[in-house]
Amino acid sequence: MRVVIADDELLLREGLARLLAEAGVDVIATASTADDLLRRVEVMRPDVAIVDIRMPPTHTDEGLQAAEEIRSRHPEIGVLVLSHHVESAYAMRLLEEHPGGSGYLLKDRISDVAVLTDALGRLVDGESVVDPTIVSRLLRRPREPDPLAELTPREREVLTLIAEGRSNPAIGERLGLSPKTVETHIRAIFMKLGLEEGRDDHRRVMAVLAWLRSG
Amino acid sequence: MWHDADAMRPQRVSFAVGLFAALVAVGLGSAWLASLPPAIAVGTSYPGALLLGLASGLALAAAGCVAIVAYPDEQFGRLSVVASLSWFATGWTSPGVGIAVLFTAGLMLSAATPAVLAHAILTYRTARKESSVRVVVIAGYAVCVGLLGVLPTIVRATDAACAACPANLIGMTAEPALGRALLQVAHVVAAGWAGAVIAVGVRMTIRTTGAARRTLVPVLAPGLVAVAAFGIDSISSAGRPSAGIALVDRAAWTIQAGALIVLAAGSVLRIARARRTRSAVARIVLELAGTDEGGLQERLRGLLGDPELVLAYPAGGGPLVTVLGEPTVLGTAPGRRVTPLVRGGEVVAAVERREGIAEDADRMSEIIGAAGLALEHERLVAVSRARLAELRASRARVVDANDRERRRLERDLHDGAQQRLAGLALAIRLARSNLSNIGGQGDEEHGQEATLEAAESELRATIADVRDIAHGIYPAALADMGIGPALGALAEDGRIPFHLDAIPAERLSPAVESAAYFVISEAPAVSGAQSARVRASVERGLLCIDLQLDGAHGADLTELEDRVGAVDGTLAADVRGGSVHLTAEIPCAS
Repeated sequence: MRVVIADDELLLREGLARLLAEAGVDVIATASTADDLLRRVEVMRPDVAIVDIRMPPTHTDEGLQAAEEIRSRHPEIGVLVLSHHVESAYAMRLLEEHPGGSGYLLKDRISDVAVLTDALGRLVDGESVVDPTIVSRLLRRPREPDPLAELTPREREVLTLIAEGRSNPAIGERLGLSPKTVETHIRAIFMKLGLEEGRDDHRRVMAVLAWLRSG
Repeated sequence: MWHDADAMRPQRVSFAVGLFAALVAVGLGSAWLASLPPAIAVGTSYPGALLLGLASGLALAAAGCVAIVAYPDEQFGRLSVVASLSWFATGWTSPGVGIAVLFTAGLMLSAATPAVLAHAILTYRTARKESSVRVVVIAGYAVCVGLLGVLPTIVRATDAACAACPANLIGMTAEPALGRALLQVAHVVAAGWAGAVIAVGVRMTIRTTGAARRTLVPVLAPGLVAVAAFGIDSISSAGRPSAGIALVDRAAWTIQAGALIVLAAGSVLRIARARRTRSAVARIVLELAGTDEGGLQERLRGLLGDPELVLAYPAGGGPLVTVLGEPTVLGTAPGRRVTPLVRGGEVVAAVERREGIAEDADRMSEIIGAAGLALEHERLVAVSRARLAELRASRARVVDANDRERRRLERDLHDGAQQRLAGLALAIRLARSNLSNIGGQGDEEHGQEATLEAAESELRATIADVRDIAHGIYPAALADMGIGPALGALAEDGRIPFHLDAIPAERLSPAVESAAYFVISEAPAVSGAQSARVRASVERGLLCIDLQLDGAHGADLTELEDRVGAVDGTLAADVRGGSVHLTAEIPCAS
């Protein structure tokens, strides 16, 4: 797997590159600005670009804009945005246009190489990745009436994994359930939440996330 | 200027009353003299002429006396009195008078009326004297008193027609031919002078505008008619070789007499009008208690006929402010003039108005004098508003500086501490992987590995803590994406159940967004609420926030009020038992 890393902090950039290299990921280039990143992506066509959300010059959302640009120019290239922001709105902004192949992780995950390589693998497979912290924050949102209360604990687990962007087989594997059981749970969840069930994994993620954010 | 300090008025009134009584006596006496046989003057040449002459002289005298009381600063009153005396003096030239001194004075003064009249009307109501006016006035005295009065008296030009006349005390020669020739020249010159007066008067009328013209014309127009009649009479006299009373003389004299009455009425009309203005202003004072802001300015605009008039007040030595308390600079536009309104040596207000209204100084002072109370009221309102605006601006600056500081802190934490902590976590992770690569299996390596693992998880918790702190100081989403996403994050924090019933979808100005966000996010903390429910929406240019806090123990809202107040908003709280209901309205028109 070939990745490009963009972060304006040298220590983070190089540390992350080394860590991923040790985990067997092929880090083909690093960039310190959004423009640099776009150039390298254009030339090298990596499988995934890892992007820090805040980069020079204004340190606001340059990274997110670069990620959006990569996704619309090269839908086949996955993008993993690393961010200190827990606000779900940033993740939604990234996933809204191109859910499959877009990922949003909190930056404190970068030392957890297993989480990182899992996310990179899923992005290459065209799945979506949403940080579990953000999903659990979304689930905390108060609702009246609260359809989530009607979910069984198992259904709640399944819903969380859907919101994190996982596919049916991945959910089944995680929870030790057969694909059929997973589908049954998903159907029940969608009915209880009053959502249309689409066949498309990406649209399913977005539907669930949007439902969770609507409070 | 303020008329209420006019201490001399009672003295002027008694003087004017006495003067008028004297003038009535002079008028009656003169009429009696004129009627003595042989009554040959034009003022006795037809039935009723005597009465008309008396009436017009007395009207002029009355108008003069009234003006002396009402407008002591102007010459009009005194000049009118003199003109009336001169008018009466024609009666003294009657052959039947019998008193030489009176007769001689009559000969010299009886022709002076047009000159004094022209002087009175051309200087009516105006402080500045144009050079053309000055020339015409001086020429008038030269022509009417000199050429038509004193000179013919010296050369005894009229004696030939008057065998029964009393002695002419300053007559030097009796050369009727020379006298007649001189008189003819004098009449031609007088006719020319009358034309000049009319020209100057018409130009003056054209140049005067608005309210000033309305008081000028009733006096100037009949005055000019009188002068014109005099001019026509002069032309007709110049064309005739002998003295005597022609039809045209009678007509001209009658027109003059009538015009004087109209003129007198016109000058008194001004006083009536001023009185009406004063009562209109008195109405303003009464109405003002309930009028909206800037009411006085609107009224003055209406009263002075200047829709762009501006009324401003000095605010504590600083710049002038409008009644709304907004700073303003007067007199910058062309054709505008500024009058400071002074009371007790202190400027209490300033009026910017059209230039033409400058001549209407008495109307202005009438209005300002009567509006004194209303003016004082508005001044206090304006000054307090200006101070309030200043306070508000300073509060806005404080809140803005506070927000910028928060934002800076959040950035510093994000891009500094958090990045470094993340780098440190990476370094520990790399150290751990190095350690396992070395492949040591001893207890020591296991111990180091355990220590590093503990350090790493501690660090991760620290990163999460710093993230929460930074978010609490200033949520990045508020600046990047607006109040909606920021409130969404607040609901996801889960510190207390935070229900979002409605949030505005549009972006508002940063100051409004941050005021609204911090009011909503900090209200639960300052009230100790257990749950919160917010409804925020934009209606008619106002961001309306409705915040219900339950399980609250009461609230100190000072900080929230500062935040809302800094953006000109209002905050109201309804505390009932354990619940606090906050409503805030923040102007957000874009």
